[in-house]
Amino acid sequence: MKDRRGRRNPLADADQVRRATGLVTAGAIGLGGVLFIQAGVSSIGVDELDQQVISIISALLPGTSAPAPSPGGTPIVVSGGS
Amino acid sequence: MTTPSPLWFIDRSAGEVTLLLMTGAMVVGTLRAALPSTSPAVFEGIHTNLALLTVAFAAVHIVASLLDPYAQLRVIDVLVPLASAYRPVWLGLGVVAAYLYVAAVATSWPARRWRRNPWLWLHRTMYVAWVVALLHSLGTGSDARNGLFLVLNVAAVAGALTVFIGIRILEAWPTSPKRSAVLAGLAIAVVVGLSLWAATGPLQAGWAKASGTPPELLRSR
Repeated sequence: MKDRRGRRNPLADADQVRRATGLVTAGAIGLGGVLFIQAGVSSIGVDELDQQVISIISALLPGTSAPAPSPGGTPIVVSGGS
Repeated sequence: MTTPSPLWFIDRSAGEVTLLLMTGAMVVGTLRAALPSTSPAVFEGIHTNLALLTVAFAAVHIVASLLDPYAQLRVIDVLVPLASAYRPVWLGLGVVAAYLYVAAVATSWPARRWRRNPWLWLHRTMYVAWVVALLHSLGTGSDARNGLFLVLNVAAVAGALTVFIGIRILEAWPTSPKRSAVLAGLAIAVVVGLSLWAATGPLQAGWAKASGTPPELLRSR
């Protein structure tokens, strides 16, 4: 009986490389997103970052805008105590 | 008054991810060289893909820095070291690291183009490129004092040092102990030097001014 230890299947290797690369790519993009938010929030704050991202999306995709109350709708105001 | 834009944050986050991917490619490449019979195709494939992914993130880092109106970088600033008005020395180190990296990738992919010895020595300049990139990251980066960025940089240094001493040095020790001891000492000295410099420079208040940030940007902070 032949010893099959040490022999590698090129297709299995390629699949392993593909999966590892996909995982690292997803991780890198995710980490990039986290660092983007971290850098933005620590520099200009959540609200300003939010506004800037919305303005960029609006510039890239004309016709989109930040969510607003529907016309004629009554804004709900929550206040504390009387 | 100029305020940082989302492109500025894309630039900074992509730069940090580039450094981490570069560290990963270096670690896997070192493992590949040290363990030639352990899944060579897998190690080789992951090393190559990590190196190419590093190039992709570096491209995002560079393009975002050019498009961003905050630091007002020009094309010449990302091509010629010291040409920039924004933190010229530290940004210039990034340009040098990029050239070293591109040279190593271009001579290796899709196939090795040089004879083994010159190629190997050129490939080993990656260790220098990595140190230069780390200096660029700490010196130019606005996030040296940011907790998450700092933790990631420390992890990258710890990983690179562990692999360099634990694999490269121990591997060469039986045949050339003196040379290995010198290289290990040099690696430790570089890390200690980097840590001291970071503690007294980029991690201190006032680094933005000391590193060469233009006065109009300092006023806008």
